[in-house]
Amino acid sequence: MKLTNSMEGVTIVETEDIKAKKPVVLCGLPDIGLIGIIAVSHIIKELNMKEVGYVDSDIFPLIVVFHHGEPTYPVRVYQKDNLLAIFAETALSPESVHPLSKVIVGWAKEKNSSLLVSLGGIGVPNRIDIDTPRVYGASNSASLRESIKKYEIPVMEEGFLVGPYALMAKLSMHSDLPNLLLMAESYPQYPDPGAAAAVISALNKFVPVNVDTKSLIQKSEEIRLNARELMRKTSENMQKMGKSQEYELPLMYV
Amino acid sequence: MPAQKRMPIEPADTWSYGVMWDHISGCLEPLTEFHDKETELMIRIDMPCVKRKADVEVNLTEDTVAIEAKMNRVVQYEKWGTFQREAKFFRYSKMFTLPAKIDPDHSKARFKDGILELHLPKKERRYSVKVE
Repeated sequence: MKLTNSMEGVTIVETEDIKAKKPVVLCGLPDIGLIGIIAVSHIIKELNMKEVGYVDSDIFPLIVVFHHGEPTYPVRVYQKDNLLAIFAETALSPESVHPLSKVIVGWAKEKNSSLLVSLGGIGVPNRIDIDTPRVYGASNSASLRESIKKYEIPVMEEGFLVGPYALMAKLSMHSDLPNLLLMAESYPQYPDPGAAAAVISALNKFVPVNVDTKSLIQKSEEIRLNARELMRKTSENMQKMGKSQEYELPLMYV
Repeated sequence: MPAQKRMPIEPADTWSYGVMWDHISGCLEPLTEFHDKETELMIRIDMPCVKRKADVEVNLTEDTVAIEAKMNRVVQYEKWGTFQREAKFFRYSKMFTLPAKIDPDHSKARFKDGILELHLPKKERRYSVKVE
């Protein structure tokens, strides 16, 4: 067991020796529509990624998760070849978001990551009328922004982003770590497996994970049902983080 | 936000206040989204496993909304949560006390992909004042 990166009380612990060459790091943290959690969880299952570590902190919720009778940490690290994934299956308090984002960016940098990808959602009021959610992209890298355009993904041109992915984007700029944000149109306050499927399809263009989303769509109702309480707690936390600022217009003076 | 009636809880389960289920009556509390607009209140309710609009019942008064919906199948968990006991759910129930009086006669509802959307026009009359 190796403590690899620690920041303001949040620590990433590697339980397995992680050997990866310029890995891509995927993040699935609680956010709008639980897109990241649903998408990354699906990728982990489909690729049969191996649990190689966890993230823990005194400021995380006082919980342990049981899977198949075995206790485990609610924020875990997975690996398959040069793909790493960080996945949280609990709501995270606003206080924990800053150190968690710092530790993830620091760890990705330490792993000499070629790309840190955040999968998330953009809450849209008319989601009920959208059959195929659009995915928006944003990056701190000019070449990635070119790729976003090349793949005909609308670039997030103006606006605010609030929450863990916002912090990771900001910290990645400072750390010179390529960061890609893919955000699908989503129900703001309901788990949205359809939007998670859209974000996986967009991810496939940048990182060929080649994950089929049919089974995700088929399990949609089960996911919506089981993720209700996590969604409610996440909505409460997002409100505390000032998530509503994403619906405001930024001051345009430069 | 409207006042929302929470799920009933067992007397011994005081720690479980705020849970979104009642395994005794097989009932789940749905996630809801509420918008207080200028002329109407809009409520969206997410009810996965409810397929037919015929299975959704909406009862309105001027200041309350009551929703009941039947799932298309019984959702069964062999070991529910820390209780580690079997739990079956087959319906949703939710009641709101509204922050403004509405006009039930002109209220509209639509149901798509397990989501119920209610448009409840406000009853209060508004008068525009000429700015001089």
